Amino acid sequence: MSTLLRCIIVDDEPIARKSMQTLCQKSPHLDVQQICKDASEALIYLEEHSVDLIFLDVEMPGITGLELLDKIGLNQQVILTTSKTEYAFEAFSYNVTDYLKKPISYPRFAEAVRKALEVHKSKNINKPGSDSKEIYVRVDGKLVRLLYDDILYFENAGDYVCIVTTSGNHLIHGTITNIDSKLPKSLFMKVHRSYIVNLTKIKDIEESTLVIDKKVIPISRAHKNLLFDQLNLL
Amino acid sequence: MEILLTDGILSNQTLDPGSTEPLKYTGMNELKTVTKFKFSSALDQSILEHLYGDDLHYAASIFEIFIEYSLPDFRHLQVAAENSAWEEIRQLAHKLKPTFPMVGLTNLEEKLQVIEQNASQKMSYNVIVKNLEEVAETLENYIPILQSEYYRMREYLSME
Repeated sequence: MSTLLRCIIVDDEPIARKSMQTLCQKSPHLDVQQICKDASEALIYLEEHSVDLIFLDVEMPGITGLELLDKIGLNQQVILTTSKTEYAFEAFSYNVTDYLKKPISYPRFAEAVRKALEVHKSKNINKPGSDSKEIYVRVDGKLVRLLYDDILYFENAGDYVCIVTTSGNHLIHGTITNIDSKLPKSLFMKVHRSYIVNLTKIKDIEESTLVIDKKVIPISRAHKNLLFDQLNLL
Repeated sequence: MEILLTDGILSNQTLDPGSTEPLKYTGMNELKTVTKFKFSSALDQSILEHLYGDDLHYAASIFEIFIEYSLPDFRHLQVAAENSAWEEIRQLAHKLKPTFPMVGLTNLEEKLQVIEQNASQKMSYNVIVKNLEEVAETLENYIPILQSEYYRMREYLSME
């Protein structure tokens, strides 16, 4: 199966958004999930969704592309787009995947996408959890091994996340979005900005809630279709 | 109409020299006739070819957005210059700069670059106004060409 990178486009300029969208549609490896006209829109989207790649304009009114990077960190790859070469040095200090100067031709765009695919593949190869059945979490200064099969769900708790397992709860420092990017998609799914659930532990699902071990968990409208796509429905 | 012979083998397909209808590709090793869209020589054809290749839908959509959004933005830039709003001039010039080569106006990109630089360094206001007047004058001449190219692309695509 070919790799498909979930991506978003962030640019305040309509021509640049249309151009990037068209270029993305030409690539069989990209799935554009959202097009944002500024960094604030992107921030809101990224709070609820995890993506593999962001095409990010550097200079935008309000929050700039680099300021957005400061806020979201590098949980996903970033390809910066700009009409100014002066940003290149600063851009690479952010460890971005590539830097595209506008206007962008398809061959140059394809080269950047190739780089992103290579990074994505190498990350997955190097990730010990690709086929593993466990994850290590830092609790009270030590690393604790948790079997995926024991985890029921993850719940947002401010700057912390509560991992609810069959044998007890663990409070770890982090965000739901960050944790979501590290879990196997076949087993876990973010169903709400505050919850990631173990799909194999769901007891039943109603219109906008699901139940795991007597806990009623909300399903956001944005995640509902994705959840139903993932389920083996008769 | 530009006629391309491919693979060196002729078919029995009849060509009507007066026809404006593009003939479709009919298979390998057959006579292939293509009406290849050529941009106006008033525009930078090489960059348009480089950016869009054979994707005329893509080119047409960009021309459409340029006419709809970038031209009004240029008017905003002129207003910002009249008000000596340095930061707004700089931002608008920066935003507009890469859009010009996307419709084959490569020469205007450099002038926008100069305006952006002058605005960020708060150079002489008169220099900026003079630069903008030059761009505006050139752009005025190009607007009918851009509109005509856009309609020509749409017409071509509707015949496909």
